[in-house]
Amino acid sequence: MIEKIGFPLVLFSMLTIVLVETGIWTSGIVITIGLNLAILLVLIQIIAILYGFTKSLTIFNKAQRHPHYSTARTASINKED
Amino acid sequence: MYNQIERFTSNQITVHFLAAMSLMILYITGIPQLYPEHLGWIIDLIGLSKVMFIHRIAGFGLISVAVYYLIFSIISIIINGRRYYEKIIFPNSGDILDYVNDNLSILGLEQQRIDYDKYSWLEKGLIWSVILIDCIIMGITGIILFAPWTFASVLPQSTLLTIKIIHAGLAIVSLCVILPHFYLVHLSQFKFPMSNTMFTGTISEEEAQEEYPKWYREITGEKYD
Repeated sequence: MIEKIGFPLVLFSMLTIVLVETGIWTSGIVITIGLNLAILLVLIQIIAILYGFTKSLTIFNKAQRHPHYSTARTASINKED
Repeated sequence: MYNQIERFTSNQITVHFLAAMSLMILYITGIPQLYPEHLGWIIDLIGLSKVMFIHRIAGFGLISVAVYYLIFSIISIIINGRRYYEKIIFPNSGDILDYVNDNLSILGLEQQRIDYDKYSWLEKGLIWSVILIDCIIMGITGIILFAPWTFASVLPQSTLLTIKIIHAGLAIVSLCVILPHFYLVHLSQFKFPMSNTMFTGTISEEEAQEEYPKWYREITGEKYD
């Protein structure tokens, strides 16, 4: 469901930012919700970045500790591809 | 199972991680200072002095990453030549055509023709907006606002106020550029909940074929149909 409402959510938060910055509409609950939504999206991005980076580091670490791992083998597989 | 193709180097992954983290922290600590009546709870939660301190540390982080990548790029150009940067990073006539075509297809005036190179016009636009707005303009204005009293003897007060307005205004522009990026890599129906390409550095062959056909043909040597 979030995929379907994702676009309106991002558009709504951007619209409120533009409205408040241009001075067209600077107060009210709608603006507060829009700005908080933008900050919430930024917070989710931080969590996603930390999660993705940690996950990739874990995978890389696991791959290196695997008994069959060797840089020469990886290079030969890449060469075959 | 599709083969994976290398799209980003480990250097690019690390730079993206550090720059993105710095930028996100800058938004969270900077935007509430602009709109305390709407986002004052963040300042109340952390404390104004701490918010300002974290904002300066994150700004220093972003500038450091930018300087590092600039030095890296200069060394890379000296060693490998300018071809990579000219072909991949700088916008070219193909990007303008793609931009026009994509907009016409949104308006329903033309059929969409996806034939992107390694980076599409949107991705090039994003990286250039980060370089120009976030790193150069925000960096310079941020350094001046970091210690305005040191520049007070050189710059008149009106100029310092203008710099403050520029810094705040462009922060909003920058946020409006990052939010669609958030949509494209997290909320889009093809990527939800998140795209892992920027962390693993690889992309599946199928995805490369669909999203970056020109680049795919070039790396595989496939002929154009």
